[in-house]
Amino acid sequence: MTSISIRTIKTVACLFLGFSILASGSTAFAADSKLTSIKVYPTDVKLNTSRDRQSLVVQALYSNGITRDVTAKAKWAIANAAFVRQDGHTFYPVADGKTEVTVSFENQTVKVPVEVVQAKVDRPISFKLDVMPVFMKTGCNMGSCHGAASGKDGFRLSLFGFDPDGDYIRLTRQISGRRLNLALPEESLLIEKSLGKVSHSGGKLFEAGSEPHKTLIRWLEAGAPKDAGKVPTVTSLEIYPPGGVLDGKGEKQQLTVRAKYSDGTDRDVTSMALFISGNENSATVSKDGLVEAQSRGEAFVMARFETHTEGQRFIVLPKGLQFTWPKTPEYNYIDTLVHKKLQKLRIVPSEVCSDEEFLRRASLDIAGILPEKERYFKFIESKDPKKREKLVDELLNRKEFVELWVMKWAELLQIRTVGNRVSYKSMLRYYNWLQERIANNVPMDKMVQELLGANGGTFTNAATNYYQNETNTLKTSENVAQVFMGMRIQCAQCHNHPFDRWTMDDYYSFAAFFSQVGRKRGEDPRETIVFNRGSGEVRHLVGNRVMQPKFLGGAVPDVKGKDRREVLAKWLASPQNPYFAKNLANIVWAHFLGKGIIDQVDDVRVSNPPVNEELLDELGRKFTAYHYDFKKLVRDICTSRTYQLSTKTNKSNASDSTNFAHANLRRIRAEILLDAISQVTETKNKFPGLPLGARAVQIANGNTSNYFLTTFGRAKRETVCSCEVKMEPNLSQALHLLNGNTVNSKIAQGRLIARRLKEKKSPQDILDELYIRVLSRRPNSEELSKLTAVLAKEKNKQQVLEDTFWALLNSREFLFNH
Amino acid sequence: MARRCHRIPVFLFFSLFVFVSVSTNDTQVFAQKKKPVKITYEEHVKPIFRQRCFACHNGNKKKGSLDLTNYTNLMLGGSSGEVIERGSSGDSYLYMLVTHESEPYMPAKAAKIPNTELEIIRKWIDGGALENKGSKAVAAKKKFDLTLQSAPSGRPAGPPLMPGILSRQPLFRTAKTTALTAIASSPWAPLVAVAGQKQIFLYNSRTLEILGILPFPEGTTNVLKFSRNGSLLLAGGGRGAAKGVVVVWNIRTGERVIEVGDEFDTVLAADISSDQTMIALGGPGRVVRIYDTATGKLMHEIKKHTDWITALEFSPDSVLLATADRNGGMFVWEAFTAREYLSLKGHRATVTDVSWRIDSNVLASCSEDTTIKLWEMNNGGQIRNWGAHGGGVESIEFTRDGRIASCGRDRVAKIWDQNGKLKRSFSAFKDLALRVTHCDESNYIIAGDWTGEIRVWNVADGKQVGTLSSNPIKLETRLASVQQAVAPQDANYKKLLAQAQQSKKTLDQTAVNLANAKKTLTEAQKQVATSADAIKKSQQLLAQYQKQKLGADTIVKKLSAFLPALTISVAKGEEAVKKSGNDKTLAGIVARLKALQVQKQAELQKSTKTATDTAAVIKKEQATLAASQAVSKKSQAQIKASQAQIKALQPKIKPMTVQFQAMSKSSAAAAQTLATTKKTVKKWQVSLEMEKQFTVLAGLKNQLKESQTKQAEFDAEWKKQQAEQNKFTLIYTKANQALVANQAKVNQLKQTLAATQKKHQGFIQQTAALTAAIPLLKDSLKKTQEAQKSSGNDKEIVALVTQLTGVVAAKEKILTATQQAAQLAQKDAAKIQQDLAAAEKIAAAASKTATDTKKNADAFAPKVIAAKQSFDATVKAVAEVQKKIAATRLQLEKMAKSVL
Repeated sequence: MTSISIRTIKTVACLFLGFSILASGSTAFAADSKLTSIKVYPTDVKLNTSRDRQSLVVQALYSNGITRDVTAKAKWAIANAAFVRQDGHTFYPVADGKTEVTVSFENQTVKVPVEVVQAKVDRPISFKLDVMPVFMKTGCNMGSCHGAASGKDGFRLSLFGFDPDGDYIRLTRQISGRRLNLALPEESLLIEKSLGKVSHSGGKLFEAGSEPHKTLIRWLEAGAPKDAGKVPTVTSLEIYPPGGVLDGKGEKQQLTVRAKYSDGTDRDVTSMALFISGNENSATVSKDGLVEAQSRGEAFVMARFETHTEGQRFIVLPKGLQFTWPKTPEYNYIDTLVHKKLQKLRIVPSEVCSDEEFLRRASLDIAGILPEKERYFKFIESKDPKKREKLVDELLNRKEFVELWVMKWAELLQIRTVGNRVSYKSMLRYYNWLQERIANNVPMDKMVQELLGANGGTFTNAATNYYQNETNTLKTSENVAQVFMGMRIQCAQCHNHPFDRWTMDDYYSFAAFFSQVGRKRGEDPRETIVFNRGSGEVRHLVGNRVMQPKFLGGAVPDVKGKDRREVLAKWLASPQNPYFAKNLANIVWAHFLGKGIIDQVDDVRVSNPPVNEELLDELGRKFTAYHYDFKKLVRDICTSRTYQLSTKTNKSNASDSTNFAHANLRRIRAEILLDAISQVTETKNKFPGLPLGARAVQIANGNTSNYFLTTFGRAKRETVCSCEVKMEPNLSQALHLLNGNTVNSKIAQGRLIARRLKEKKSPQDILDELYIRVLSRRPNSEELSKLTAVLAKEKNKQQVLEDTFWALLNSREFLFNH
Repeated sequence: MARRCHRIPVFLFFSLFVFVSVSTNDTQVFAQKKKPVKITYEEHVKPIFRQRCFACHNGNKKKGSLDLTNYTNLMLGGSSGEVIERGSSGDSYLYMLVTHESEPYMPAKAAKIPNTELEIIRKWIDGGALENKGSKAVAAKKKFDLTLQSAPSGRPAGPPLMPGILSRQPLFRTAKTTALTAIASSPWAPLVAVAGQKQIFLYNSRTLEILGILPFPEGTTNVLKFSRNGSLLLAGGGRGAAKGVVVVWNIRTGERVIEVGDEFDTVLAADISSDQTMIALGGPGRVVRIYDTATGKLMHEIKKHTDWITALEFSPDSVLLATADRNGGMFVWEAFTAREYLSLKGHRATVTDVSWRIDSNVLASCSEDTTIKLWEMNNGGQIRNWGAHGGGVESIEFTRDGRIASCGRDRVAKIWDQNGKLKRSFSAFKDLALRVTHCDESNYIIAGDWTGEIRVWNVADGKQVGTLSSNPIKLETRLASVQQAVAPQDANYKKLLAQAQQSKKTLDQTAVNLANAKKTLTEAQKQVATSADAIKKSQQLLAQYQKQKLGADTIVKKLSAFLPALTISVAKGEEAVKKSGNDKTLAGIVARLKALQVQKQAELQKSTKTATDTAAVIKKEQATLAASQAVSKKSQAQIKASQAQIKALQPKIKPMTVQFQAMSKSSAAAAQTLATTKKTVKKWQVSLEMEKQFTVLAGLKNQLKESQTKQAEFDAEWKKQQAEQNKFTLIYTKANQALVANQAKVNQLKQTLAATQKKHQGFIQQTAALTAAIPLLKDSLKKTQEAQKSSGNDKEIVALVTQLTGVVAAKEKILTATQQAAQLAQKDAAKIQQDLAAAEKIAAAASKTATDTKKNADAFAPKVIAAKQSFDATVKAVAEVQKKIAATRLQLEKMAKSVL
């Protein structure tokens, strides 16, 4: 993953070299486009063996940031044609040696070194290297086709080719004489079906004479050999060009994909890679790797080959867009990085929100409470230019901040009672352990290390409950990956991950860290003692191999004589793990901005890249630098201009919902909403195990709930999935608020209006207070005039005011954080 | 249990099927006829629907309640109502969807149907959305009756049923082989059928020699089964997700005799009942369908299986049918009624194969769950169950003698006894062992694997006998390869022959040498003996001579010692004599002395001579001795040498003989090989030649088919023309009859008219008379009345007046009546005149029609004759082609015999 990020940074750097001058100086993008440079990809050509080849693409960068595919227009020259041969934009070996290809376009010239080795050697056809990619490329081993668990129409391939040896056996030996015909290769069922010569449920997959066809025939003609010895594996996949900015619908960019192998060779696999566009609405990609711009937006275009998936971003702009970047203040590094991305997209961020909006938003987000009346006046009336920062600091120091985050963590750690496994007492101890850590601002790395490496009784060392919530080794490892690294690796249990780099090897090697967790009954029957057994292994599903522990995407550590979990925890919650800090930063970010930089936060994968990689990297870096003190991170986020943006959109950012160009409306989550209603109605709730008046946020047990909380989607903590917390508004929620017993009875129960009237407060004052309490603002003139009119007419002021109260609590302005 | 169904033997008719290009031929026929092509559902539209729509709109799935797989259901429409508006494609919902004029676009998730096919659909709907070709379809109705009198269970009479003369040329050869999909062995002949690509290969299971090729252009063969008597071979298969069929061949002739099945996915399992009345098939469609072999009609559909049908087999007595599926489900049905008899529960994975014991009392099944299970058929109990092949059992077969052959994913083929005891397992394949069969005639197990390798083992000793190929080489290649072998084999033979000859030569030489040595030895030995005698003799002689010489020497020595003194004495004596003057005494003495001296001198001389002579003899004899001794020595050496030589040569003879024998044997073998190869060359050459004949035959068969089609067409044309002619004749006859009838009517009418007119005239005259008379009468009356008045009512006059008045009234009444009658008559006349005119017109028309149709009918006569001639010509053509076919067949037989 590090390689990706580094590469992408480079990408971005070179991509925007063109307008870095502009960005630093005036922020206007010149309408006239001047060619600034051309780039040729890949930057070097290595041809190994007679059938090798390499296609090149030429990308022109213009002063206004636009990129164009000028491969066809460029002039090509080979310094010494004795070594290489050019056909189109593809180079083929002729003889061993070194030369270079000069590519010129307009006034720009680039030289590409070319090296040819073993030009006269024909690499023998390989099942794994040549044939397996055909099944991937043409979709044969997809889940809907022969990759299905029981195969399709009597023939099965492993899903996305996770088991090439098995595929070889099934293809060649399962039903001998049917699928292959080595005597008449063209008449093999494999070929006839693929070419659509005979009926095939999957239809015609490739043309006669196409590369997949030729590859299969060559393999059959060679006698359908099995690969002898060790076959090189793909170590990395390169997809070129590194992104692009496409000027209007219909603009095209050819991609070229190169795979690097463990034996040091590389291959142009453009024709064998499977291309996927992350956003077909903005850019489509053909099966040959031709990107075509559609409507405005950004698409992550990926190439999949073997187990590797890599992608590049393509930005599509309306044709000939005129754009001026207004001078926009940057409060901190977050704004700098967000603006950088927005400039690329030609989007202007919204204006900063009002003080009232900010007060409400920050209070809800940071502390999960609504601002009290006094605080409201104090804040609104303050003339301090730093009052927002001060507010953030103030909120961060409230106990409610801690409670809110304890709740968030309790969800991730699944704190709840589990029949026969986690008793109420254990659960409570676990919760208290967590609360203590967060309240004392224990750095996240320490906390996670303590948690994952925990040994002892579930009463005496409550962190061990982590291994009681989930006792299945594989599930435990999946949870760890999902919570602390944001990755869903479940797929890789049965097959290589289809949209990520994780293979079954990775999966089982990672699971091996949890294979030696021992559990025994404590003295108290409710207590379990978790200890390191020091033995026990995880075996691979295919082939039943014992897997050595290996960090996900990392090294193979020495675990001999050590507690494997401690080894893992030490790596996991450390800067060596590239995912940990970024993942936690992303979780925090998603809490405040309503959407992760990677969304969902626990769905980190190659094919779901961060919308702003630099921002995420920086947040991760900062988080690490803060010694995993996320309070500081929250402060950075909440004091950024980006956080403070208004929900009001402008013309350029109206359609954007991913790049944080404006604030998003977010429904307030269940616990906070209930607490807020209780707060404004001045009523108290009673939850099991908690004193009267305790807040819903404080509920320790995931299994504790009530109708309101369930309706508004409180997490049951049965899984670690971020999707457990339901944030989507729905009809039953609306109906419950309108007719249910919560709002109405709480208004009645709190008797707020009655008390105020008793206090001889004027209806106007009471109205004012209601608005400030519920919406953190004063009623506007229109609202005021209408309500005053009603109040004047009605004799029963209390009824009118209570109705108003009810109406306010049912308003979307109340239900949403905005 | 079902009873055996006896069928009336219908005319046995082996279809004249060649293969696919039927549609093109049809088009050609159409083109030749220059008539608008009649587009029908069965022929043109269904194949399009099959490929594009059947996957969703079939009898089982019925997406949108629409089933396009048969005409009736198609015309019924789906949940959105009728989808075809006959004669108006624009109003047909189906057409609107497939042309993307309306949504949902069809076929769903697939490319639009090509315009050429859309055009066919449009033409079909606009042409009235016909179901089939009508008369033609009826004419082409096939009838087979292969019904046997009883289900055979024993060996059929006669020699083993082996294929006749079939093409051995593979339709094509692929670069690689693929998984073996089907294999079967004949129950009563050393014959194996192996599934190839769009063709089936027949091999002799003993010699492993290829016997023939059966084309299966429909696609992959997933199942092969011999009929229980071994006379038919059934193949089920097709093209995955497109078409599934079952084809049955006559083994002897190689002709297709049955084609049934219309699946929209390939057939995975099929069988023909032993009485050959039913064919059951199933596949991914999950439905078991049972067809009647005599009519080709669907008899039953079994829809109980929840997954792909993977195996089925009729019991050898044709009473039961066992079926099994990919989910482990297995049922036994009454074959003739398709009623459920047993549900066999036990397999936990795909049942891959089922096989009946020959007595139909036990069913064996095997599954991917690694087990083989045996089931009894009274209650469906599982009587045996054993783990047979790790990973899964792929194929099993009950042998004739109740053993079980199996193979599976452990790459091994095995044979078991019925108790599940492993009798033998065979060498492992390189990949999954997929299909197995046991050839009961040779006791060989034949199995094939995922790579397409097929091995044959002898069960008796477990040794691999050889291999078969699911992708055999082309005849040309075979020929070339054997031809290539000729030269090296020839060279080899020659080399071996030369070597053998050389070896013979060496052997002979050695034998001669040995004989010589032996001879030399004998001679030398003889020589040695002779020499020894000579030496002995010489030594004796020498001893004698030396004795002689010693005697002589002694004498000489003795004489030499006193002779000089004697001589002197003589001399002195003579001197003395002389001196003494011839004293006689003295002289006598001296003479005696002299005589003595002479005597002694002579004696000396003689002895000296003897000594010298003897010395010479001795010397000579010594030389002789030495020579003899030398000879003896030499001979002895010779003996030694010869003995050594013999010793050296003697052991060489045997190996040399062996070597020579071996060499002559191997050269003989090489000669044999060469001869065989040459024969093989000849065989493949002839086979290739035969291929030409097969091509000719195929062409002829096509021609025959065409001719027959033409014949049928001309027959129809002739009949049509005849019918037309008859029609005209009929019209003519009718018109003639009408003419005659009308003419009679005209005459009659004319008469009636004349009578009426006459009557009318009468009435007119009468009227005129009356009209004239009445005023007079009236006047008379008036005058009479006046007279009466004036008469003062004379009584008589009054009476007269009264009378007159009555008369006048009567007359006036008559007048009115007559006038009315006249009018009526006039009207009648007019009507009759009208009728007459009409009748005359009809008569004229009839006359004209008669004349015209006569002309037409006459005109048709030559057409009818021409059509008849054309028909006759086609009949002749058919006969000719048939003759040619017979000739070609004969030719082929001759050729085949020439290399047998």
